Amino acid sequence: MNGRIPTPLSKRFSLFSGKTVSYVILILFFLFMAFPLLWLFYSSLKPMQEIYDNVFALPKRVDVSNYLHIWRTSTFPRYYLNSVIVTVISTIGIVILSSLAGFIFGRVQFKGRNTLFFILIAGMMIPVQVTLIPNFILLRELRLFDTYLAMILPYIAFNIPISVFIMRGFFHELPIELEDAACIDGCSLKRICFSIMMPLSMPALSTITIFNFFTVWNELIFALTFTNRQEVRTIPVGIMDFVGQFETDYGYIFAALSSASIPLLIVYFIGQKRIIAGLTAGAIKG
Amino acid sequence: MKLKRRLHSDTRSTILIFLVPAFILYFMLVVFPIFQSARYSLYRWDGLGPITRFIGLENYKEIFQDPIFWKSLKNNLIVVFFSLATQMPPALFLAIILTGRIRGKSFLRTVYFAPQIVSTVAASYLFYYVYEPTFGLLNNLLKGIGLDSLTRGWLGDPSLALYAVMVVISWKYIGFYMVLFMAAIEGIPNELFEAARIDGCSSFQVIRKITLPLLSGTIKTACILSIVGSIKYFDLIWVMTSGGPAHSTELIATYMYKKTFLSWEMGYGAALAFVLFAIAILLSVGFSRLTNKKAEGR
Amino acid sequence: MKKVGVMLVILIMACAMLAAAGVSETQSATEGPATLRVWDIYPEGTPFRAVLDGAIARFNEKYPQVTVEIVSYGDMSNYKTKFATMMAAGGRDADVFQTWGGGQLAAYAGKGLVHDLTPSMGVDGWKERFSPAALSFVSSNEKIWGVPVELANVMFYYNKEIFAKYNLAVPTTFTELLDVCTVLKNNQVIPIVLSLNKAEWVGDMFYQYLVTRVGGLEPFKKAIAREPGGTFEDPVFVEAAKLLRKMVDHGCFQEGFLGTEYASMRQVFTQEKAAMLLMGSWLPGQIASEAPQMYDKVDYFRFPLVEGGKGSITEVVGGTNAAFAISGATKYPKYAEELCREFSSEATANDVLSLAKRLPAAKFDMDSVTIDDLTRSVIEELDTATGIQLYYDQSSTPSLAQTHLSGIAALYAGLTTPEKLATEWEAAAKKELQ
Repeated sequence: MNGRIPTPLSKRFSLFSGKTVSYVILILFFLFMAFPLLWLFYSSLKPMQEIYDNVFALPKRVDVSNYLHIWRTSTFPRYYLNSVIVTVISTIGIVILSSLAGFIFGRVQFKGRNTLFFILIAGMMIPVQVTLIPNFILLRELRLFDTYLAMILPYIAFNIPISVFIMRGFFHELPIELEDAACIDGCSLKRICFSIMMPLSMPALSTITIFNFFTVWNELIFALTFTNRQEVRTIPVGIMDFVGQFETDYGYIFAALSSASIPLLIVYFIGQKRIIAGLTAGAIKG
Repeated sequence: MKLKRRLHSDTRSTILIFLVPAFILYFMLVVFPIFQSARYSLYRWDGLGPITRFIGLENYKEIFQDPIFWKSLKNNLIVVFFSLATQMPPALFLAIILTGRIRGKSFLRTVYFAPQIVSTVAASYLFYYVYEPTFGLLNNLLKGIGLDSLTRGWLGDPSLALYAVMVVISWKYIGFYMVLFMAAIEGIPNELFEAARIDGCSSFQVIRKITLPLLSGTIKTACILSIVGSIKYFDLIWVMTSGGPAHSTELIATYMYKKTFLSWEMGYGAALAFVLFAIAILLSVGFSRLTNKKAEGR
Repeated sequence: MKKVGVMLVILIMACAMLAAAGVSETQSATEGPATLRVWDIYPEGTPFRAVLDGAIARFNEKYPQVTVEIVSYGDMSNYKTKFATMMAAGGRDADVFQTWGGGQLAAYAGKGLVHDLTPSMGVDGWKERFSPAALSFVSSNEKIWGVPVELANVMFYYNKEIFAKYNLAVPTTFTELLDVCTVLKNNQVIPIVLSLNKAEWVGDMFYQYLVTRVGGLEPFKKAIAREPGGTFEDPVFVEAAKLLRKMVDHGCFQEGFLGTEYASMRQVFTQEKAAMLLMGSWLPGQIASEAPQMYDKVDYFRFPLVEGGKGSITEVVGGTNAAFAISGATKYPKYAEELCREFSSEATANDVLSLAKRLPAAKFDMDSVTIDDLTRSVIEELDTATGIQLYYDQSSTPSLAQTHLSGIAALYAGLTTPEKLATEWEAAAKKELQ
């Protein structure tokens, strides 16, 4: 599970005899994906006026004044911390609850199973704004409003359906023989789950972990509606505030957007092997 | 894969323990509010004070006569189809290439996935500045290479705005689906490819006869994810255009938002949300049925 | 006078403290430690924040036991969402909140969500600190619901240098305006820079002025109050829409204006790529802090007259951009009122002018602030105005406002006709304001 694409496969065949065509397409997509981000970063290193004078040229010299300005006055570190706390805890909650539920739905027959599952999945279709006001009132009654839990609990609740969907699909596909072989004398459901199924489900678990991590990290509406104080604000709301504040200062805005993106991108680039391996780990079969 | 019933004493309690926490949260924060909202949709309520003006299905009747609703629906459908068309093929394509023998694939894969990492809000503002008519990247780039005539007010042109925004959505999500497909491709046993090679299949045939069919489950899942995501789509459009100019990028979700929080027509907004909900279910069930039929027909 | 008021308050406080410890949710007099939550749209770093912070500091000098918590959202639509959500849930999360007056405030007031300020306004000459026009923006049903802090009028700001370069005189009629635009266009200068992306209200200001120039203030007043003879299908509204289309077709605005955002529009002006900008009186202050190098090139002229129109050149479009109201559910109405008093004190008003370069709604001391000529003239415009048209979207209920703005955007985009605009507006008004 080290993210390396297994060599036999790659040796097996090279895709197009038009190898150059492949490379050209790859390069075009590279430009499409990467250039806007690169433009953002190098523009943020230009002093304000230069940005207007020559929009897409590289900076004449590297100028970090934009960054200094916003980090001096800003609460960015706090927003980061909040985003990390909320995202990590939510993700853990989602993964645990949905893998357990997914296991049940995927491997155990019981009355009403399909109905329950359908109810759960229908929840994926709900536009979250529908629930804003009722949840607002609910969270206030529970005195959880304007706290981390005000975000964590809804994040878990709303992301369970799709994660259960994925986990259930995965568990469903596992052959029954696995259970039979390991449980000759009969064993409890719990044992089947934890000793057999879970270890095998690492690929799917990785998938939902990563998927949920990014979904929660980027979430805007709940974070905006269920919190007021800056102490618990997360990055997406923080960015909107920043832009609202620095309206015309492209330099500051670019620096803010970069500040919001770069650390995560760095983490991603360093750990990308692991991260993408997590998603692709399903490949390695014994 | 058949499932057997385990007649063991703690089965029932296990089922309960495993399901209850998830369902408690789900019912409290998702299901219950949905019913609340359903209730709102039967009233005319401006959000202030008690909910008193019961109007039954009046809101829904109004929706079906609302030209802006139909425009939003049309836009939503455009987004659904356009997203499928511009995200799936490139994602598949890139996935296939990158699981083959290509140099720098690791690096490229990283780059293609990077847009997912950038927060949606940041991406929205970034692309607003890319599309900005006077100081933005796109127009200035076009001018710089002498294609002045192609410059436009991208987000300002009612006929272009929606497509401009969809380009951004694709930018963000192609990498995601690509990675999904790559995972699936790598799940295909090598023996199959071996056999195909030995039988003398060309690369194209390999893709057609092995890769794609074996990927069909993943492709179908990806499509459903894309469809449902497109129907609910909100964040990016809201930040870039808020549904403008003149409703040309209005989606049902943004229209619902405006009706609820800006017009204070919360009953109407709730009704819109339910219509959205119904459409999402219709589309995904319909799509499922369609692809199942195809599979069975084989 | 003020000292007596303060003593009175402290006396009351002492009595209350001696009285009971149990606090009821409603009308408790000023008491021991309290917290006031203030909601506004001025995060750290904005000039207006300094103004408000100064007022809060002065307030705290008198009432150190009150902690003032500030909840600021820089993004307007975020503020509006949160605000609407909060109000829908009872309005208990804010004690003092920013409002734009007009129909929206009236709607809240009608539901009992706003604290009635009329009695307190009569005390200590508070009411007299404002002009009748300013108060009218925050009043409805003969009661005063808010405290205006800033007033704004809308003028045509222009770049003197560009005008001089092309030998242009300030236009005084609509035709002259179109001619000026022609010359500028022919010289590759954007005549008027406009933003409609998420900012329909900017485009609406042109419309409002055209209506006022064509028919005066009466048509709108009658239509919005649903008086007999008042209708949005009045020919005045249609005529104004036609004139607006004329401006668009004539090329007065920059290419792609439908996609330009509010902030970018200002950018275009300060980068001197456009000659004119129709905007509220907060603009000079913004230019002074964002682009001081071109500040001296900026001057203004009044929106031109329309030939044959009934409006007068001294009628302006304007309103209050910063007003504060007190939540009906607040636990500390007395403290909240004191804070609002401080928001409208002379010291704060002076700050509004000198720190934020905006027009204060409360009387201020013209001599103790140093202001530049541009701001001074703009203030005098407001003082000498013979009538003020409050922005349409503020005068209307939120729903009607949204419908109207939507129609205006469609008009600019050429997706509706002047006649249709008026018809739909009238139909919505009938439905909304019955």
